[in-house]
Amino acid sequence: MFADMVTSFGLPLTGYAALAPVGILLVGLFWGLFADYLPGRKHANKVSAAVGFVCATLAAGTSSLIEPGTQLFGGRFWYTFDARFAAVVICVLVALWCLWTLDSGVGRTREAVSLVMAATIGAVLAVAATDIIALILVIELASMPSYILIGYRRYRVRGLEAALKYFLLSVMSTLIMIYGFSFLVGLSAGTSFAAMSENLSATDAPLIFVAFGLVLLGLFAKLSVAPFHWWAPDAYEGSEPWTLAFVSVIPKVAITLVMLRLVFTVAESVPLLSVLIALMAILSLVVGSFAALKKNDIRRMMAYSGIVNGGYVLIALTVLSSGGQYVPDAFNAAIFFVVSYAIATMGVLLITAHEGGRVSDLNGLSERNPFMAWSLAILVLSMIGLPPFLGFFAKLNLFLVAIAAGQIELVVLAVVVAAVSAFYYLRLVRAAFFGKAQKDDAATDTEVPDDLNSDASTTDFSAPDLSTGESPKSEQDKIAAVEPSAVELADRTEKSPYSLSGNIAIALIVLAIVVMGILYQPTMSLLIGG
Amino acid sequence: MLSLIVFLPLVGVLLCALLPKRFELYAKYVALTVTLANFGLAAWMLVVHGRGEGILLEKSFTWIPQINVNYHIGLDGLSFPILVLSTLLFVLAVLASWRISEKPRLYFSMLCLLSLGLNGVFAALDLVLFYVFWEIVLVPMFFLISQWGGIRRRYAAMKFFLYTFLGSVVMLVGIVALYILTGSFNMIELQQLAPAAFGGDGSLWSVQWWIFLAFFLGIAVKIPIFPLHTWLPDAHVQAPTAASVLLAGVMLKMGTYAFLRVLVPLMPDAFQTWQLTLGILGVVSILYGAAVAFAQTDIKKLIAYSSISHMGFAMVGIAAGTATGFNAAMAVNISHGLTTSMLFFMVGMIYQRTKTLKISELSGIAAQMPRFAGFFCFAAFASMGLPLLSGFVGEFLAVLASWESPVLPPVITVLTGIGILCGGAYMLWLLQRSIFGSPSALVEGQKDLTLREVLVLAPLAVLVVVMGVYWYSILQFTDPFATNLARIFGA
Repeated sequence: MFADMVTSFGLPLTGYAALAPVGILLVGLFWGLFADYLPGRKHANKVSAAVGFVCATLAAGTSSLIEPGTQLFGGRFWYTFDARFAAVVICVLVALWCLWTLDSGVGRTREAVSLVMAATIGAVLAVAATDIIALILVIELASMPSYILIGYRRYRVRGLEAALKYFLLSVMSTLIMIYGFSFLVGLSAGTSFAAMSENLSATDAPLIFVAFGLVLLGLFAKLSVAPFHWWAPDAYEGSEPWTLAFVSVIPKVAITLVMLRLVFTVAESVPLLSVLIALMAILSLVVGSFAALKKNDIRRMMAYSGIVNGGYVLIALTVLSSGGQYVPDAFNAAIFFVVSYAIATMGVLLITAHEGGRVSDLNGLSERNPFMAWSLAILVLSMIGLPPFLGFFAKLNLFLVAIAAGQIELVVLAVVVAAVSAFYYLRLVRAAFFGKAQKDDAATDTEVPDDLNSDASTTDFSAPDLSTGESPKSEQDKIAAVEPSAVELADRTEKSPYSLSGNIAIALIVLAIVVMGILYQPTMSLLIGG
Repeated sequence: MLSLIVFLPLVGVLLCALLPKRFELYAKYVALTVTLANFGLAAWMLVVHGRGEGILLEKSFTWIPQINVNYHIGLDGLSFPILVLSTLLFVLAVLASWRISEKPRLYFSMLCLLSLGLNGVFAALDLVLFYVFWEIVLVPMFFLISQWGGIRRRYAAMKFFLYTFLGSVVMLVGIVALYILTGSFNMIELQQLAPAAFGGDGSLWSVQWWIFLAFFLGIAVKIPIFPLHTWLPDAHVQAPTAASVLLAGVMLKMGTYAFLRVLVPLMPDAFQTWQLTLGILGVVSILYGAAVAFAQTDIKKLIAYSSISHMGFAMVGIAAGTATGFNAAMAVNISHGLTTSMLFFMVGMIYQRTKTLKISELSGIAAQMPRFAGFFCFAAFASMGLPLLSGFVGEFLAVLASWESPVLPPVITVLTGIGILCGGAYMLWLLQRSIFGSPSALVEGQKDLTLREVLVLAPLAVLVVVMGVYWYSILQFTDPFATNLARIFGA
């Protein structure tokens, strides 16, 4: 449908015109950098966020006009339907993110906006990259600004720790990935994906398996798929929710698409690949869902939720890597799934930025701000996979493909995991609607005896929860819990006040979740091209 | 027209939710108007079209062409009576919630959303649409229990949600598997397509058997069938009155409804493999529910367990696999919806006055509140299956069907009969302990039923008598469907 609409305008962008979105985003990037010398310098933060919003919106618009099949730089970038879809989604999400920051009062937004623009350029190019060298460049462009964004409040100990962890991990995974690529380049005598799919022969299977395994390892670590997920909970917990709303979402969409393309390219020459991916899928689903159960920090919970959702994507990837007639469907199912996850995660984290990082911070939200409480409920229900929201259709699509391809065991596991995850997602809804608003942090809602309620342990200083089994930090937490130190106080997340632009951004995100769910068909048309 | 009936409560959801805070006490009027209109429309449609042949008020248009999903709704003898009952119970539930003063807007919008979900479940003829509504139901019920429930409401709400959600997603796997085999989600088309796709093989461990199992797990949790019933006592007891009524009166019916709508017609061969197991599970549910009900000291819990027992009769009826059996299941559905709703409404009324649910603290209600006692005895008699009242219809037919059935052994008939007896026993014992005797300290001085409360109970009481005396009033709708369904098994 959408494709028809585009052609009826007679405006498809072909050739180098397809780089228009990148050019537009560059304007946003430079405006953010030089906002102090440009018009509106008195309100540099707001102006650069506004410019970022306009640029990202225009970039989304122009991306949707790119003629599918356009190739650039001798085939180093190739805009297929799915790449175009991902690029549009990325630009739209970035636009919403800029809209949210416009009036949020989080401070120093102009630099954040320019960093986000740089990462966005990397992401929209990464989804189209079909050449190893280009791919490495744009993936780095997409992830480097994230190091800064994670530790954006540089005077916070936790933030710096998180940024360092994320940086080391990211660099490490990139190195491993490049190491793997070097083998692939040697084996296929070329750097393009086309060369790989042509020249890799089954005779070199073991070596290809090792090389590609290294590439995947790097990508898995970036996607925080178990067992390469250890960095994510710490890094997420240490960061500001509003930067996390970008960092945990946009690079993930881009990297998922890169991974899908890579696996699609080499799947035929690596026989054991699907087994390996299936194992990772199982591990991610189990680890992510069960570890998230008792987390009292929303960012930490979202990190584990990201691991689980990585597992879901890997189910589609398993189908993709085993070849056969379901490959295109699996491709689309994975993209659709990651998009549904990305939109909802961004919404939840932006609400978290208003309300604070702990689950108990949400207590009484329905009294304070019913609109936010309802938005949170819809986002969370979508993540659980409840109809008629987007998350349900994404899961339905995924199950359809996986069952058709005979991956029944994975689907059964995914189903059980969906129910387990429902438990921790619902804790957010429960806190927002039924938690008692606290006057000070020491007061807890212990009036209602509740076997499953573990919220009390977060702030109940007399009884530190021994069973959470969190990373080394829980020790530190317990010491700090005795008397909140200056470090700990400085560690609390800033709560940004509600603003009109922020409300509009969140409302649009919720609207997308509802409308894309019910109007599943147009969304799919945009993805698979009518 | 049917779409209007299904989506009318959406007006209530939006109006109640968007009401300004200073008008929040008017939410109940909005909800009452909407539910009354909904009931009026549904009842009118039943009177005008109810006895027609085939699928009535059918409507279909494409929703997601890529995977052949349609917005396809319609009614027949199976769904029409339950839909009308459901809309009626919502009117009464709103009336019974008249005194809700805590977050009334949220409360009544959730009630309307629940109504929307249930209407949709009974009207949907496309499996994806059906599943959408099936899941929508969970959300308002989760909210109703968590916010307005009893002491352990949060635990109960979470348990309810997770239990039924797990069941539902397993069912989703079954739906998807069925689609992959047949290429259709259309429940009517699938009646031909699905058995053909399976090639008549429903033996143990066959594909059909597995898909049956997936559906069965989702449905058995809802009914609930022993041993998947453990969410029910918690949810029923902790839920606020209106939610308990709707849980017992309508939501349990989603299970038996789905059984007759999906499992039996779409997977007849696997059904025959399962038949005996289902019969045994049904009998175990009857006896287990009754036995546990005997031991209860909490009046609400007793009625909750009696629900498990009663739904066992429906299960035995279905397991019989004959027209009589299917009629029995549908009659039990309707009758249980009427009688248990009455009982739960009255438990709510007595709790509102005495603030206790302990049977030992309630005695001599008859002396203090004669009208209440009269209604309570009436509902209890109807529930235990006294002839000329509605409970008898379904239970008698279930016993008859289990005898007629070529598959179920006579011992099941005997045990089902004993189940009726047990039902009488625990109910009578309850009456003896709570209604009769000298008034306890808590009952002393309490006011009898008000006009509003009588208005809640009276319509149900009338329907109980009508259905009990004139069986044809319900069987005229259900029998064509049951006969049609039984034809699959050559009966």
